[in-house]
Amino acid sequence: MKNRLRVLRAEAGLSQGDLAGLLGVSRQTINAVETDKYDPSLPLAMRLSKIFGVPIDVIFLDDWTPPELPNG
Amino acid sequence: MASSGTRRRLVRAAVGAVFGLVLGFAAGQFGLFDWIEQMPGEDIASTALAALLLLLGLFALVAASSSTLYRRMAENYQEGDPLDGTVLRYLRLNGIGLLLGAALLLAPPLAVRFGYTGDAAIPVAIGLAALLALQVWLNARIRRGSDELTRAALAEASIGSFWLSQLGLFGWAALARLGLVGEVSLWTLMTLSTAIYMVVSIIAAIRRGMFA
Repeated sequence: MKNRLRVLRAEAGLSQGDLAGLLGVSRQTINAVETDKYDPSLPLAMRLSKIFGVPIDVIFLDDWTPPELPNG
Repeated sequence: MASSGTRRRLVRAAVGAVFGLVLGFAAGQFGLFDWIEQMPGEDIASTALAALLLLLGLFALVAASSSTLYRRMAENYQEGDPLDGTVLRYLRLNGIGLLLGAALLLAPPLAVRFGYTGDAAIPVAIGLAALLALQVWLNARIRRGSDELTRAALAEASIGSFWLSQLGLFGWAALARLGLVGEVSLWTLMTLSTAIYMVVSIIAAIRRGMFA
């Protein structure tokens, strides 16, 4: 999934290692998320959202639009 | 002009080549190659895998012996990476797990080679069961302490290697049942499935950027 993690991290002045340390994961995990090689778990995505103070859908970009509900 | 990373790799390759030359020469002097020539093909393959695990395990243990050595030896280390006692401890546990894997692969062919068959093989089997239990416990502990990327890569490696092993096993078994190929021993199957797991787990780790 495409994401803006690299941009948000740079804006916050954090290195991949700094962010990894804050989240209790390896730097490779942060790098893998930033390079779209790994979609993080929901708990990790929520922690990212709390660290940067933005909703999850500001970090992770999904162009899927839901179909109309049958009774909508 | 080569970058410092390329230079470092070239130096390491040169050191590795010299080390390999010395090791090969010493092995020849001690008659190791004559000894290997007398081994069945499946034992040669499992011994080669065990040697690989042994070297990887020793590398991990040396790298985990201090944070300074880790910084110098870990190819994917970057300045600022989280590097506390936990990282080194889990690398040490991985190293021990690799050494246990090597011992498990080496022991049965060596035991047979040294005449431990029939009743004499029972203590060897008990020792192997104890080593296996220790390795299972160690792997469970490593998995529990790993972060989610490592767990995802482990799960992918398990799924991929199971799928490939099952495919190969079915193909060979079906051909053998039809009388088109010969039967293979359990040791050959075990060696192949171990080799498949190693290759698939390396591919999974690369795909997930774990060496980055």
